[in-house]
Amino acid sequence: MSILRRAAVSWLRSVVRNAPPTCQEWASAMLRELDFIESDWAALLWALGSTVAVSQHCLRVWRTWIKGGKEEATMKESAIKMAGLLLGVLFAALLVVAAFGVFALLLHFFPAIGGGVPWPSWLIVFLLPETLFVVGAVRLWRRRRPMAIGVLLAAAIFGTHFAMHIASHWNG
Amino acid sequence: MKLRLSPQTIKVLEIFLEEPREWKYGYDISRITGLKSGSLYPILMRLAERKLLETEWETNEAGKPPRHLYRLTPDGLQLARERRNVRPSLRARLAELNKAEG
Repeated sequence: MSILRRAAVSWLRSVVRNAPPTCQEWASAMLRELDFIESDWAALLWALGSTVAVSQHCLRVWRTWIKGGKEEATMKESAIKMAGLLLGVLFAALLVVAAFGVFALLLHFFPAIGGGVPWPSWLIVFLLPETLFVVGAVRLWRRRRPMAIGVLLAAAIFGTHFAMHIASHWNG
Repeated sequence: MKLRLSPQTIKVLEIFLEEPREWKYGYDISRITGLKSGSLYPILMRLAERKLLETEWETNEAGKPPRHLYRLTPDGLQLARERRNVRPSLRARLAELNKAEG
């Protein structure tokens, strides 16, 4: 075996050895063909060309992989944000339910609250939760912005609902 | 992803079309088409990635290292045949244009 051929074989062998698993099959295929190339110069050129082909293939595979990974990461990030937002809405809804529960308990123990002026009920079922929503959203804004947005969204929905309720039931 | 059919790719497809059922070696394709390994293998890899080319390792004969074999898949054959049908019409149009130019 001439020096040129030996160089070609050992070069391509090292390419096979160092190629990542996704490219190894193709690199081995090119190495096997070396035995059937008659000219030594042609064998060396084959080895060099094969190295270029394997490198290009590996780069393409990596690029696709990185791109796919990025897309996956973006999807994961979006899912986390959506979960945060829903959690914020859920916390806000629980708070409203709790406020109504507190008001029902107060009515049970102090029935006088229910008659006369509506302010105590408004304070407990609307003003108190809305204040807590705003305070909570401000506190969460930096660290858990999606959750803060969820809380604010729930606050806006609840506020609108409350305003519509008052408007439709207001007797002056 | 759409496969770019370069003149080299078309050349390779035409080689496979000559005996569609036969497996071919990389070096043989290189000799027939005149393409170097650096040009031929990226074409084969892309065809294989798009399931247009099937690959197989030769059943090992005693003492001989196995070789990689290539053959077009049914999809690959269809694509190659479509290309072959397009080319003669293009050639005919070019010939007509040349004639018209005198």
